[in-house]
Amino acid sequence: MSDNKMENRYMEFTLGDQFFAIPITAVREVIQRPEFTTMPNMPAHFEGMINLRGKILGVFNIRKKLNVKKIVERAEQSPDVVIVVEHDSISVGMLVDEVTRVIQVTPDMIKDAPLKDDDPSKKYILNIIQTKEALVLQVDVNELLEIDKYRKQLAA
Amino acid sequence: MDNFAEELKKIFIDEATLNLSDVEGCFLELEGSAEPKDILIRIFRLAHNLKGGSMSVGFADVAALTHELENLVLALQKGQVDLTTRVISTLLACNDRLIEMMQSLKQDIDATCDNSELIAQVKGHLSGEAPAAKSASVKVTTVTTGAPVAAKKEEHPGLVFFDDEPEEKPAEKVNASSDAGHAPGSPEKSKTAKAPTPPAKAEDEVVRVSLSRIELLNDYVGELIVMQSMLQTIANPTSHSSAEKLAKSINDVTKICKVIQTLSMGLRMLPVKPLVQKLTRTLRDTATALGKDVRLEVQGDQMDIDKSVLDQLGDPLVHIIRNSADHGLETKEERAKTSKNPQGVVQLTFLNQGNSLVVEVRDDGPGIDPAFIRKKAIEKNLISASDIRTDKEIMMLIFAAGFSTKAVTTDVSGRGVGMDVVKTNVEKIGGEVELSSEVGKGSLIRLKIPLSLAVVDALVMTTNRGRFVIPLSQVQETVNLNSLKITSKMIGIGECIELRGDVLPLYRLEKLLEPNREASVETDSTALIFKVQEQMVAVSIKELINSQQVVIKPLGNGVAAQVGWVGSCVLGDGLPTLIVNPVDMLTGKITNANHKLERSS
Repeated sequence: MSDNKMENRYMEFTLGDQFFAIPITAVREVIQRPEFTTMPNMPAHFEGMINLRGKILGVFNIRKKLNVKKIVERAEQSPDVVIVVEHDSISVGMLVDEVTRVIQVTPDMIKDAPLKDDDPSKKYILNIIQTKEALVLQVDVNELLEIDKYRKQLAA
Repeated sequence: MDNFAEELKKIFIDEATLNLSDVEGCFLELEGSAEPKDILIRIFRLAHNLKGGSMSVGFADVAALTHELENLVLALQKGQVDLTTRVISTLLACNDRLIEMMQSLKQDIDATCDNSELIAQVKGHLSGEAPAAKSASVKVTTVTTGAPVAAKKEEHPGLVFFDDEPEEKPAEKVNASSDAGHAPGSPEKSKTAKAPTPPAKAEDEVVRVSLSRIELLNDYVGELIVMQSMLQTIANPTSHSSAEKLAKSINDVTKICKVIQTLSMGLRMLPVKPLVQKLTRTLRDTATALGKDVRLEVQGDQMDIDKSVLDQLGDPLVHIIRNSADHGLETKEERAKTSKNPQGVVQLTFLNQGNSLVVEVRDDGPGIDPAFIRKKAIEKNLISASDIRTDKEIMMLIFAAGFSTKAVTTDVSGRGVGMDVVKTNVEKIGGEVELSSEVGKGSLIRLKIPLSLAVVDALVMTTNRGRFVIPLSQVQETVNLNSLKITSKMIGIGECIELRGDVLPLYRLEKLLEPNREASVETDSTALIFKVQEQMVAVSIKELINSQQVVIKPLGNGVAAQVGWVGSCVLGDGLPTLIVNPVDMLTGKITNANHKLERSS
């Protein structure tokens, strides 16, 4: 029973002044901004490698992918954090401003996102979750963190 | 089927597989043994165990075959049947079939196998007739409703697990979770709903480790825990411990860690003996098929090597040995003409050399004539007739894909694949292949392979764009650039340096790693010298930090490999660092420079 409930829970985080959410089942842990090692010849949205207790992970700066500007005042009061996402034993980090809360989502809260065709971020957005406090965008972690792409490269 | 019976079957398969490799060793010993009695008794015992075991867990096919095998061995023991090469071949064929059966049973517990042909062959020996040794053409067949992949298991042992049920479950689970509660309709949703192909995971392999090794390891881990609590006491602010005491404790911990590292690395070390046995068999079979008389001399086979290295070494060595028997040695008649001993000799030597394992395969055959190789390579369009190549480079063409000196493809050789596999596999594990040959005297193939894949000696260095690690084994030497003259903008070469009379092209590591980025104007202080396809090349770095051992880890999750990226490691400050191999990055780019240099000189 409790498992069922888990799947309806989403972790909400912020980037700039926008709210986003991902299923909590995809989250392995949340860590304070660690020290990064930058990598040569990588796309701009790749922040670097981190050492998570001996395991080395790549971290993506999804702000750059979603085209969200960092709000300066906000950044000063809240240091950013890394959400470690796990998909089929592949763990990848994503840098976000702040993890705000966990939302319990019922089916009626989920709405189609009226996406604009020419928006480059369009492919990363799945739905809108309508909460009392704010409209939250549910993002496609798989697409955003290029997990499938990485998996294909692994298999090749 | 209940779990217990299945469990028993699995245990039986594991044990039987081990027993069978023992048996194979015995069979090979039999040939040329003056006193076969003891060996026959040993074989009989193993065959009997196998029969009993297979019957009790219900593998009737295995039991039937081992029963016949047992009869034959018994007859041999009593002297009722003569121990001929043909009988040994039959015994080996039975053994092969049993190993094959074990492998298929491992993947599909209900697999069956038709052994009637082999059984008839064994019975033939028993009744005194000598049936023509038939090739074991009957394939193991799977008669179940199992996945279609099972039928192809012989060709793709690694891929079978791709379609296995447990692999697909996590993918389904994740989809279920991301789908949960979605309103249908958005096109993106269908994209996620498509099950991603799970990565081809290797089967979790089993290594047999002696109990004493594990106990020793446990002892030291116990020590470590004691040290940890000591450190905790020292760290307690009320304890008034001295810095001296702390330094001593840290010293102790360092020592224990070293020991534990050595011990735990030792767990991965496996004896090279079984591989040697397989090679002995390969040589025997190949030589028999070609009607040649060949003897294998082995040195250094009591060595232990890292399991992953051992696994990668098997295929290349099989190809080399087959090649030695086929191309490397002449037939008896040819040998007699050149007044050589009619029996050819292949020497297989394993030796430790610093941090590398060196495997040498030497034959006393006719050797390789570079002119002949050159001619063949031109025929196969691997090089053009106008290409200028040194003899050494010509010889390396033997390892090129598609190269073969044979006009006709036979069972043994001719596809031009084998030696390509050798080079590819050996280079994959960071090794090198060398070939030398003297016409009329024989050839020598030398593999140099890092002893362990997990820990390497490495150089830590900086460029203007961060810190990197390069495996020391690749570096020929380091030179101080301030003491050398750098010639810049030389046409066709770019930057180059002169080192002891040689002209070396100079590359900046920074630029190699990020070709699309404007390099910084700061000058580099040091150059590392690498050997890329026989050409010495200098790669400049900003500063050398130190040389240390690093534990190679995979590149981070989510980071796709790029050319020359070996992996990553964590340095003393806890930061992950990229391990790069400039030789890989430069391979292919240098050849031209090399030949330009050669022509201009």
